[in-house]
Amino acid sequence: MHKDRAVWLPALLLVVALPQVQAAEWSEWLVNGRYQHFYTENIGKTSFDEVVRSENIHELRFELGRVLQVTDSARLRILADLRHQSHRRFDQLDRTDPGLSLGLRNKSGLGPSAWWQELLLSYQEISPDDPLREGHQQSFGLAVGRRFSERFDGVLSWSRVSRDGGTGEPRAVDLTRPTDVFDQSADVLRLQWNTVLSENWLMAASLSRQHGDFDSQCPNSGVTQVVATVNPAALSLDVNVFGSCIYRTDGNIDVLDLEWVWNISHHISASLLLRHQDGGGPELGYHNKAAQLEVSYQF
Amino acid sequence: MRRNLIATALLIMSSALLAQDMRIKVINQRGEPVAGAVVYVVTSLPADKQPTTAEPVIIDQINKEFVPHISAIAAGTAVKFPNRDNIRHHVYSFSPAKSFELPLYKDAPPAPVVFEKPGIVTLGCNIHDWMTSYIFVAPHRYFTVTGKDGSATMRDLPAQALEFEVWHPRQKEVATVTRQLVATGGMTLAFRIEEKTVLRPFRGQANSKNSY
Repeated sequence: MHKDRAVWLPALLLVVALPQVQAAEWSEWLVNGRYQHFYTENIGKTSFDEVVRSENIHELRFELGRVLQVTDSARLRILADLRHQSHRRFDQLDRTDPGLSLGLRNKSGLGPSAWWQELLLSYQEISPDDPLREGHQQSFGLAVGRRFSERFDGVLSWSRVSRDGGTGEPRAVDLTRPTDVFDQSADVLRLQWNTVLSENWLMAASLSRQHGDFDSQCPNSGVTQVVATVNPAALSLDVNVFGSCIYRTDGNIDVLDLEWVWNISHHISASLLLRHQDGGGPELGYHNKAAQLEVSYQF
Repeated sequence: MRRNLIATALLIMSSALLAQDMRIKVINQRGEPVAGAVVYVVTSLPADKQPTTAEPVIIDQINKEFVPHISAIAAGTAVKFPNRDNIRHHVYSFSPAKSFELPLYKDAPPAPVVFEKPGIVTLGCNIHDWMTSYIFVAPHRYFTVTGKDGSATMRDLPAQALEFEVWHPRQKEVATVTRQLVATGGMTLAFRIEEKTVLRPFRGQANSKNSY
């Protein structure tokens, strides 16, 4: 995972160097607060019906940041956040963690219909009460987008997401395999299409494919099948949280999101997101549906 | 700015007004007052009947919005675009009537912008895509803009047959009415316009979905 951390060196250089550009100037402050209620049908991303668990997650997030106007067309957004997640059933997953994100966006031309390009970096601590999951996640990505008309706009993005998890307690199921289930990396390709429905309503539809590592729950009785079918790269007992086994394998996760956003005022909005998720492969695939309600305030 | 007449105009005599003043009232299809509607004389008038050139008009940028949202000026008028925010704005227009750009600036731009050509100019800020403003550039000085109550007064009109039109960015079609001004009393012109939805990039949190 050390090679992923190397991404932060150029990021640091960006933050130090860009304010030195002659025209650069610190401009807007970003102060955001969000509350999310997230429901997921299959939190463990499992293929086995007997260990499918649903969960309700409450999240409070506070974001503070600033925008550096680098040139007439380029802006650097630096945003620090602190989020608290509370789980209704699996409170071992509760966590309060800081994060940081950078976005360097350039607009190629004048007006709302000009193409823009963005370089994205993010870092997020992950510290639930479980040594297997404790660690951090970081991502590096690129996005391009434009507004095609007053009603439609689209964004195409790619990101590489890396998660550095713990190794957990020494309770390996299979001594020949590592237990670092949450050491993962994956590429995510995402196409988002936004439709302005009215002066206060927007609908966002996105389709994404994640290719790479993911974790999945399995019952203790299913380990043999998992090993025979997907030959997992890591396998461990998940004694602290779900009480079953968990493994890391690679494959695709396809996600379809539909979101309706109600712009209540210049500062407040509410949204409802519905998610359909298919992951894994033909032998051990999983399905998940999720919904999210969010209320956010932007200064 | 040519027409397709859709509006109904009512002429109401009123002795309370001066002979060459015209009271204007603009409502929408629901009977609600329309603020920011530009009512102007279409009839061509001799130059000597037109008022003299006014001082530069000011369109501010306050709290990441243009203020006012809709302005009307006579062709040849200079407009200043002071930035009252503590961040920089980048004002531009692609409109055929006046295409210009004021790259990122704070406080006051170097010089006012002169709008020589009649027409409608749509302004934007290249940093904050939701910021829009409209300038109606009239060929003369016989125009007015309605206030919050949808009414306004057009003063010192020549006593002759005059054709009026109303324009608003939400208006589906231009509304026109022709009336003869009389010397013995004022008049009130009432326009009823059909409003449409005008979409612009969202401000606020939803803005993060689709904005630069």
